[in-house]
Amino acid sequence: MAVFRTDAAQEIDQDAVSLERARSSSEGPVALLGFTIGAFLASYILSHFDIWPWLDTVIKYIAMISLPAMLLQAVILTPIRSSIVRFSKRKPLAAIGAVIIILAMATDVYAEQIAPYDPQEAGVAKCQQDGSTARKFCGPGTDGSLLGTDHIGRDILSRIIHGARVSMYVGVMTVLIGITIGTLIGIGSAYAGGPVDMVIQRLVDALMGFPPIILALGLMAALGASINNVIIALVVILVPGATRVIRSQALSIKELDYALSARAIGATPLRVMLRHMLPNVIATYIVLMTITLGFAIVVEASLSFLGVGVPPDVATWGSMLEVGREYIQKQSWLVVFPGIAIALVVFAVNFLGDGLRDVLDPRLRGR
Amino acid sequence: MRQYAIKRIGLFIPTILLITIIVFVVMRLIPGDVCIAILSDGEASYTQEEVEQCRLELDLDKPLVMQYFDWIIGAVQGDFGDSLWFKAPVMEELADRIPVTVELTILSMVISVIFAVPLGILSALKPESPLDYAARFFTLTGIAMPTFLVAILIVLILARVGGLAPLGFTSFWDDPLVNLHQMIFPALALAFYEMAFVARVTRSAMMEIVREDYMRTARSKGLSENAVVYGHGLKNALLPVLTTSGWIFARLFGGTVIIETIFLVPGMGRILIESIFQRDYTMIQAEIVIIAAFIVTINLAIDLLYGWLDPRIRYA
Repeated sequence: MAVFRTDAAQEIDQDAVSLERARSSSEGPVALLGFTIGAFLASYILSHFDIWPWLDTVIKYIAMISLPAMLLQAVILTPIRSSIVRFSKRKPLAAIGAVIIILAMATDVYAEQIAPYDPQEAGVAKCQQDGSTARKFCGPGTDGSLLGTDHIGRDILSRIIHGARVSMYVGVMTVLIGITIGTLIGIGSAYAGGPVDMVIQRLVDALMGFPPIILALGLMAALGASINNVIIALVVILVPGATRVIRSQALSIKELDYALSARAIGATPLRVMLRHMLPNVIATYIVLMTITLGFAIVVEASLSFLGVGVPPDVATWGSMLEVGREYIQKQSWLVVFPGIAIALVVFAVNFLGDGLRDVLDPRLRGR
Repeated sequence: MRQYAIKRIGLFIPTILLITIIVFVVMRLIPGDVCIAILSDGEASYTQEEVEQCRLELDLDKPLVMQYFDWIIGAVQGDFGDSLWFKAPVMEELADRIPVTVELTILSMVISVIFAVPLGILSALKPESPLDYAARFFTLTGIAMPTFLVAILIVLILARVGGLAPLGFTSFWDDPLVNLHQMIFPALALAFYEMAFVARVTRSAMMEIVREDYMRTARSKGLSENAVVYGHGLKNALLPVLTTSGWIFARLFGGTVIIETIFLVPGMGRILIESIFQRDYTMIQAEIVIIAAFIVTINLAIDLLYGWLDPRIRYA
């Protein structure tokens, strides 16, 4: 007996030691990267608000520094690099998608540095049209304008770069808020059960009865055109779907042994929900965010295209398409380039979402 | 089946009621109220009397609950009030628009099923073949392309080729050919996403069905390959398409807003956008409720049909 005991003790000891080693070798880098990602996301979101002139500048610099820092860490820190390499080998398309998304976010962060002109400035390029010099409708590749200029002579490339600001920001912001709210409600609804769950689920049914864009249009009609209202409208259409998916997972987690034992020893509902249920739906949470990001970007572009989303004085891909539509026969570049920008980003987000879902949460396949 | 039907219908009524409440609440989110929003449009100045007068006309002076009940009782009888823009009953204006949008939606549904189901089945029967790769490339593209981009591309191509249909709208009963010419391209643009979606769903369903026992039994009793695939396989492959058709209809209805704007089709979607610009809140309110009620009813019908077709569902 004693022999077995010492053997077992040694065994456990060895396991524990190797586990501890494995942990310490990756936990530090992961925490560092997590911190950088957090700093980037926070400064990225805050950089879209006007808080205080000097604070805005500081936040902007944090975003501009933390983005390359994030990439650098991903390349230098071995455990992270090796998992990225593994993921790219398994899901090459998803990896390409991730690269495009990072590029699009970088375009947003460095918009003022890389855009050749101010997006609102007219007559930035000159070109020959019918024997005379014109300052609008210059084709792609003319002197001073890579992708051409629009109907009042604004540079298309600069407008696309600044358009990334709206598309990426609205997309990221809505999925962060919408999926988080949906997840919390989903967990709460599953934990509470009974009449609370019933009421929430009927509400979800009702909200899912609306075609998303119709509900968004109704909200925009009531609230008026502005970036923040677009975000509110998109959050309202994202929450019910997320609530439903998370609730169904939380329901099964609630009956698992660890959740039951936690409740048996008298853990408060809040503790069970946050410490035991939430961490176990995190994979789904991340996957949902990526999958719905493309949808959010498309709906924002659609609303701007219809003229009820972001106010017309802001350059967005949707409103560029709306303007270009009139000149589609002769000056098709007005439509083609913003169209490519949207399609590329949505492609990228969908590929990354599908890849992440297959790796992190295969149960969601087909939803 | 009866119990299942009762349960489903029991869920239907509260859902419809909640939908009307949601729309009613959303329309009350307007900063100030409807009257101030209309009167102050374009920074026009207005007097307090005008606001009072307008509030009286729209019954805004009554308590909220009363307003809701007045509205809902009218709505049940098909009376959604007067349009603020046309100064005529909302339903009068919508009566001509609803059939147009319904035709567009059904046409898109037909196009996507006719095209996508065979594509999905063929690509599942011969996985990793060139056809399968082509089909998978198409589904990936279709799902990533926003509807309005597809529509603009179709207009661009039509403008170059010269195949643009005459503007306006001709009823199918007046001239079926012109009607189809006017509707086919909008329907195609609207169907593009769904074609990709349905092909993907059918493919993954068929991939599992080929491995089922009943397929092997059918083959072993000597049925021809066609009889196996179309007699046993197709029926089961259509089930997931049927279950997702509720979402498909919802998306198609949402998509009509964009498609009708681009192709200038005078349907419900276009009038919804116009009403938003005209601040015609009674019209917006009526239209959203009608569309949502439509979708929820279709979902109910699909669920009942599905329960009838697939006994496993009834007892789940």
